[in-house]
Amino acid sequence: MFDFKIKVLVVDDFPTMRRIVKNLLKQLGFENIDEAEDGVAALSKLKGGGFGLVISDWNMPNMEGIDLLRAVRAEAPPLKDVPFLMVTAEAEKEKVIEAIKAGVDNYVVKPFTAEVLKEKLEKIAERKPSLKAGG
Amino acid sequence: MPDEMDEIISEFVTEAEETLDRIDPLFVELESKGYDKEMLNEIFRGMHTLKGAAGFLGFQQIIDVAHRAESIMKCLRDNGIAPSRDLMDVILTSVDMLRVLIGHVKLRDGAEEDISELLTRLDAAMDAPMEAVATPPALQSVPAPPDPVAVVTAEQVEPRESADTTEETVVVVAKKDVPPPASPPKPPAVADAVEDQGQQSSREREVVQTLRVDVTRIDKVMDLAGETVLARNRLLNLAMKIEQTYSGDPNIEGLLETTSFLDRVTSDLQLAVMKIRMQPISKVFSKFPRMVRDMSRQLNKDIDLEIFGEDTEVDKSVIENIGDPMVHIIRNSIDHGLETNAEREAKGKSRNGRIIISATQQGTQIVIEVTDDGRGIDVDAVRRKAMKNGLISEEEAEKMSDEAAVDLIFLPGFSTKEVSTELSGRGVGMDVVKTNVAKLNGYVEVVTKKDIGSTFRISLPLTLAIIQAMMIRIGQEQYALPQSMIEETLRVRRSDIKDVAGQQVLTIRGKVLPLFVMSEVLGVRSRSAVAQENSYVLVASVADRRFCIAVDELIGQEEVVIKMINGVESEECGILGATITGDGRVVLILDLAVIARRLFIASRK
Repeated sequence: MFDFKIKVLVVDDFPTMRRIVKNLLKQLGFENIDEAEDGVAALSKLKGGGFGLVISDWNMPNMEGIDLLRAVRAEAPPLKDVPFLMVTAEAEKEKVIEAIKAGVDNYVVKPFTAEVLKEKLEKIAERKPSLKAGG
Repeated sequence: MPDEMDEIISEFVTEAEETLDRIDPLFVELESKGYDKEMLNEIFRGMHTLKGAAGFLGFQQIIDVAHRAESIMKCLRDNGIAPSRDLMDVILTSVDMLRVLIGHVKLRDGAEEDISELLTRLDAAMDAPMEAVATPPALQSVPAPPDPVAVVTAEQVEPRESADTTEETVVVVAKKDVPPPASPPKPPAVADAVEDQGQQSSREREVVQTLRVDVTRIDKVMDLAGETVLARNRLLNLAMKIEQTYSGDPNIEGLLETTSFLDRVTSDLQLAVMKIRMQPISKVFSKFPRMVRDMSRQLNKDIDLEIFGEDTEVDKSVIENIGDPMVHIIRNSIDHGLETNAEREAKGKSRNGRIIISATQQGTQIVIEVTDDGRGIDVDAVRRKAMKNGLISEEEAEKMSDEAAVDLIFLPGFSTKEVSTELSGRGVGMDVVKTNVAKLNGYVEVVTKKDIGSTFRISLPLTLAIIQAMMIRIGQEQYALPQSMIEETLRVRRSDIKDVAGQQVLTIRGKVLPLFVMSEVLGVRSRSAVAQENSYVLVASVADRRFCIAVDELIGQEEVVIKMINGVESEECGILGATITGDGRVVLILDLAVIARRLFIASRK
């Protein structure tokens, strides 16, 4: 199971989407969820420290998800290694590859259910044990 | 968790509507600009977001429409294509359909629309611009003025069925200008540079923190602020009296200081609360480019639309209620005011008609204007029409100044075109505009000049809760009248009052106006004001009517807070509400609009 105490950052420019994702996370059992409306806002929150998971939309104004990912990976640890799940509507291969190259931990295609989200997070947790309870 | 879901859906509806409102004006701007990557991207993102959220919530029809529109925008954006007018029509239809679909979600009626035809059109549109995809992406600098020679060659090389759309020609030219083998698809360096620029500019946008609050809470605060204003007025009044009685008391100075401080703070509070309810008028104005564009297409009149003062802030209720009257005026200006392109050229005017929409704050008034540079209102035609419809007599028509005659268009049932068109005339006319504006305590005027054009001016008070009032006395009672409807106040001699066919009249600067006595109107016992040698008269202007009304005494102007009286409908009794004056009296605020309507109906019988 996951460490439900970790702080999760949900990044999306559309408030309804943030709410939906937060809702799904709550269904899974996560309690500590923060949100940001774009990459710029997310990065400044992340730099504040303490986040254990980022779930970010791809297409946003000001700073896109992919640029947020690159910026995060360019930071010093521990932020550099924060588990990063990309939400995308474009299941096009080239984009996913772009994200993988940039160091994304996994991606999930919209729309998704709590079950799918759980699977993706489990896959991430295999490589990043910080996500697991007691990890 | 059904409640949570319900809230999410409500949120989705609000945000989806906001998204559409935001991108709507972009389409029209895009149409005039041609290709604009930033704009296309913004529209793309809006559609994309809608589709994404609708996906989670399972609104399949929204997904179907938004997905296709999104794909088209993406194709345009990535390939440097300026959308053609026809393509624009399809996309705008999609936006309209999305609004309808979101409306169903809002009502939770589960209804579906027949979108098959729209989807077919969208798919067909997607195939059409796709033709350009095979060519290397055009750079942003490409849609320059097309070289006529190149156009001709291009058309010869690739004849098209609809050669009239310049946009397509531009695309073809783009094909010619970019040396095909030299640039591989999506040159990364250029693409990145362009993207960076875009980010730079959007990053500079100010981040505004907002909070969504239930409007009833704000109204409660507004209400309390109103009460505070009333208490302050009362306190100031008392403090002044106490100062006179106990001028020697050492505490007087402290009292006066405190009351004057309270005075200032209360005014600031009032203003601050008012501002909470204020929103930029762009919320209303943003719909107009689209509307003007559609009308321009339907009527085949090319129009340059200019909008000023979108940032002007007005009360929420103005935002909600000024849209319809403005739509009516703008439609009227385009349909009746503007000539066809050919007519304009024949008159030596610019080919394109101009419509200017503006909003400004002037003191405590908001002034909204719609100006066209068309043919102007034919005043004689207005006179004839009014006579024909029995609105005025031939004699009246002759005496009437041009200024007064133009105002006849605001009479119920008036329409200058013999056959009302589908677009602007629907039996209802400018009278509805006037009534709706009057409901906001405002008034509408028109200034017109033959072949120069017309300006419709709507003047509104900044807020509806507080009005400038004229305090009057009738018999023993004090009343308040909205200042916005009073043109001037006069003191007249009995000899100035004439009698025309049983109706008392006054001649004010050459205009004969009917005179009524307020005490008779209200059925209040009073020493008849007119019986005195001198009497006080107000010249009122309400909707289409000007008249004089005699009162016992003019007390003065005061800023009053309108309190609604439960169970009292202004339409029935002519009372707008009540207020408490500085000296603690409860005073009724009279609704001159209702009173005028009754007087004129009665006097016509």
